Amino acid sequence: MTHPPRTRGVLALIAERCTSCMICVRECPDWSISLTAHQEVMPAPSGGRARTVNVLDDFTIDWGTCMACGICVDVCPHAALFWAPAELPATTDASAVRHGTETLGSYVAAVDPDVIAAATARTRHDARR
Amino acid sequence: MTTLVQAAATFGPEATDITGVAAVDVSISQWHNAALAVAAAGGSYLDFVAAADLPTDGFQVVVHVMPAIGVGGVLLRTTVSAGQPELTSIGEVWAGATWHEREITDLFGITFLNSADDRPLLTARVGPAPLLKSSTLQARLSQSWPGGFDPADKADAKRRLPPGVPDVATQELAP
Repeated sequence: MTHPPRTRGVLALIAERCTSCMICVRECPDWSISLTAHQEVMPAPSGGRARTVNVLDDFTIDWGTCMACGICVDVCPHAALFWAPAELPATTDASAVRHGTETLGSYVAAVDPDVIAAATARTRHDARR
Repeated sequence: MTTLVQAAATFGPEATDITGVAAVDVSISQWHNAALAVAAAGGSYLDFVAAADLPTDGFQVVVHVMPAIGVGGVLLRTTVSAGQPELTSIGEVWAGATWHEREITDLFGITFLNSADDRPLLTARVGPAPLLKSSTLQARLSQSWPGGFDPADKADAKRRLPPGVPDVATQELAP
């Protein structure tokens, strides 16, 4: 089954871009998103100083409560979250409606590359990293 | 011929509702009399009865009535105190109002006096009324807010609270 490219099917996460800033988690009106992260000190480049960065451990979306409002996609300042035109698989297992980093990352391939490019251009993501 | 607004205006000051509808504010003691007067002036079509928990102390109860033919409805408004949430039923004026009043009792805990039927309609009326601003959703109490997590985990970080949920530490919890 094919979907129009902008279908709000599932959410795709580009985990490398996520800075664990918590904005999507705190904006979600359904409390559907949760994440765990830890901090690491990056070695100082020559002439610079060491920086502390957040490293994402796990990003989870609970599809049992998500109402597909898309606020998380809109607020993500690093263009890490996208709607993907894919099918949310049906399940009889309650724990299977929670998708982790790996599953959400697998949906990125279905996202229209133009959508990712446009969202990336709106951020200063490439300049920051 | 008196319009519905003129009929109601003998019981309180005229106003215009935020939606542009002609409204009349009456006291709770005149609520039933004003309803009778509006019905006698030709207000035979009951649109709805509704309530709101006001940011200030108390509730606003409104009833919108229209003539069966033509235009010119009126919105009767009254303010019920939170300390004594009681109002005379207008179910005998418009039978359909009873249904809305049962709903308001379910959702706001307002008691309608002299009501022919006050059985629970939507809820079992256990615990605090769900549409009170002071009521917290059970689902919001039974799980912790995922946004409280902080990757930096600083001990002196400001305590974050979920938006729209009363502070559990200061809130009287539901039984």
